[in-house]
Amino acid sequence: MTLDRRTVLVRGLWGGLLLAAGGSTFLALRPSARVELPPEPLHALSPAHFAILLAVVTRCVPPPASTPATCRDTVVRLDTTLAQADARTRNDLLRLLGLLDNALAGFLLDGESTPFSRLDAAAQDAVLERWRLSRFALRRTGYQALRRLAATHFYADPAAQRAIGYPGPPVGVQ
Amino acid sequence: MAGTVLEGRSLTQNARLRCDVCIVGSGAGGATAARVLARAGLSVVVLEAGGNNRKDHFTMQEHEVYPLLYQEAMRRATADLSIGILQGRTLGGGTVVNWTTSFRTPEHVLEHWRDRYGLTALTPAALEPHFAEMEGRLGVYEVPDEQINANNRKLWEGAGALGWERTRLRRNVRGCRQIGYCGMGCPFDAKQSALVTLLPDALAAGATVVTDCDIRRLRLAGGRVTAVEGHFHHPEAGDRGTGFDLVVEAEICIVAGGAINSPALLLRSELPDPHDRLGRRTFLHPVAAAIGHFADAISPWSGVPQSVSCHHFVRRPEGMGFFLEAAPLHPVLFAGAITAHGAQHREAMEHLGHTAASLAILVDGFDPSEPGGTVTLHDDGAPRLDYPHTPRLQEGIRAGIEASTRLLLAAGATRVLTPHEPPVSITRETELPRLAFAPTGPNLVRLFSAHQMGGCGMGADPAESVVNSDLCHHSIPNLYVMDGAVLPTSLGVNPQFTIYGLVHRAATQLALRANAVKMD
Ligand SMILES: Cc1cc2nc3c(=O)[nH]c(=O)nc-3n(C[C@H](O)[C@H](O)[C@H](O)COP(=O)(O)OP(=O)(O)OC[C@H]3O[C@@H](n4cnc5c(N)ncnc54)[C@H](O)[C@@H]3O)c2cc1C
Ligand code: SF4
Repeated sequence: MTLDRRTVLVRGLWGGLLLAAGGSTFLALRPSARVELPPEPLHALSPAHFAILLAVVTRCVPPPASTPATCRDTVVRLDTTLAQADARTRNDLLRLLGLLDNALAGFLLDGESTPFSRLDAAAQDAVLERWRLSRFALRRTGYQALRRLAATHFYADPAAQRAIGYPGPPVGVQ
Repeated sequence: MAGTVLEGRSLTQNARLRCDVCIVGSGAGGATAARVLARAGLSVVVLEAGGNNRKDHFTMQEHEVYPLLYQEAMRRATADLSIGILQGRTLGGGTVVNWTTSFRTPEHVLEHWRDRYGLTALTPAALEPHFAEMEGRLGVYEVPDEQINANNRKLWEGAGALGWERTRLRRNVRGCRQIGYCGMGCPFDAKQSALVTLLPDALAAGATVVTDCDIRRLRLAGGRVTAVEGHFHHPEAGDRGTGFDLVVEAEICIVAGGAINSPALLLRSELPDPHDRLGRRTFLHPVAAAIGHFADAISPWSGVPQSVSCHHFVRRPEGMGFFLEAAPLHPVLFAGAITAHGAQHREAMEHLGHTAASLAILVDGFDPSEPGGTVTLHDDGAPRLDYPHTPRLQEGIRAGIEASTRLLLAAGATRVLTPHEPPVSITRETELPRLAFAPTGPNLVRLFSAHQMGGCGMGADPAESVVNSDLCHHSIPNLYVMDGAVLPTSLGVNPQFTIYGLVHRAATQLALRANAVKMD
């Protein structure tokens, strides 16, 4: 009884959906978009992951008016965070990005056969909205993970904070 | 003789220590136990997974301090991410980052524990001297009117306009400069956290404190704990191990890692658990936050974070109770908490300076229909928490969001945004019925928790609890759990002083027993 409960609960977060998306068919292998990479080397993200996350950040947290803070810098910060996170968290997130961009999964569940990162902005919003309100709990979880990471890393930039009128710590305190 | 703080990250060899009492965790519970037991003349070693972070580290920059001071760099959440979990991990634990609100355990909660869990020793009279001692040491005072910031003022005015019961809060601070950064560690040491009070007291009495060490296991032999085992790591660098480990042999072991972590440590140690109680009944005071936009500037990041509360709905006959409090809003915390997407997210962020929040804090664990959360282990031994969204919880959330919305409107909000996906926007009372059509369920309403309780519940009956009212494990006589994990239900008030009071009582008694044994 005890054993059952624990073994059932320790299954990987993405197990179910990944199985649904598995297989090395043509659709599953359609490549992600290519975007220009930052000059500094990436630590956790592949170029494909970088492109997917850049699209996610751009759609979830568009920058406030007149700020030098950018979504690209946000993804660079995310790369650092992921490089420092424990292996389980990092792998879960990288798999989630793969799943979001996986054309076969998109086709099976939504009839969408273009990888997320290659869609135009409106279509990307539509995909994220389907995940956000999905009847599949795992997709809703995935959306939350993405938006939370995007939002917290975008507004970690003091330039973004200033753009929304946040004064930052009182001067001369330390 | 004054004790020492050893920083595990800088040790270049394995460490072997021996003591009377080994305490895992340096938060509200662990630090209280350390102070009492060290002052009673026992040799005490305190082990902390977090770093030896002091006011110089509290830079007031969210992206710098959250990874230093919070569990899982502030990404901790239930397994489905539906409830974000704010929990401290640094020397001093949650007391370093908490918002300082100080409540004694309500009498009706103690009464419920006596009736339902046989905790007959825990009367208000029995706890009184322990609360009084801790309140004195931690400088608890009632917030004066001039320290109520704009955010809390809205809560006060809204509750007043609706005729709802409202209270001025008490808090554990000396010489507050009212800058509003409590959640990032107080840069003035004004907050009377364990870091600047109880741990220095324990050190002055000769205790040894070791930081940067993750305790993985309790070693058992002959039905007793003989040692605790862990390894040193770099908590600020993704817990990368240093390659060195630690073994502490002790006569008495106190687990005080807090809810979620304490049951996880006992699970990893494969302790006897014949009734399947370990990790069960974990309660969270789940929080649903509504935000109000106001014409006047609020600057919700500034001033004393919490100074008033509304307990009008704490005991609702029709369902789960809740209480309302304000929250300090800084950009990273706020950006991650709101449920808007895209342009709506940007708009909500641009309004931050004119935003006040009302948190509806749900009082879980009092109804037989609520199992609470369950802690189990991931393959790597890290805790995993699953928390069911029962119909009772969902009804409570709905009522709590409605009350917060009404309160913010009564305080003059021009618009209230709810924590639903997507947020419901309400501008006047007549629109409240629209809340009935808002979605419910995991990840359709954003929830978080700053109060984790239970998982090693106390009770008289070993078939339904892990420790007794002295906080001693039912079947392992030299093992104690002294932290928020022992609470059999949630509280309906912020928990730190309940933990201080219960642990002060249990540790005082333990000191008497342990010294009696030593003299034999
Ligand atoms: C943002 C925030 C605001 C809050 N505001 C309030 C408030 O205003 N009023 C109030 O009453 N309460 C508040 N709380 C809650 C309160 O701080 C906690 O309930 C309290 O600190 C819990 O005490 P504890 O002893 O159970 O655990 P903690 O204080 O969390 O301490 C446990 C410590 O044990 C360490 N640990 C855990 N596992 C291990 C291990 N295996 N090895 C080594 N070390 C380990 C952890 O790193 C941690 O430092 C707040 C909490 C947060 C996060
Ligand atoms: S509000 Fe007071 S207690 Fe909190 S951080 Fe500022 S000075 Fe410290």
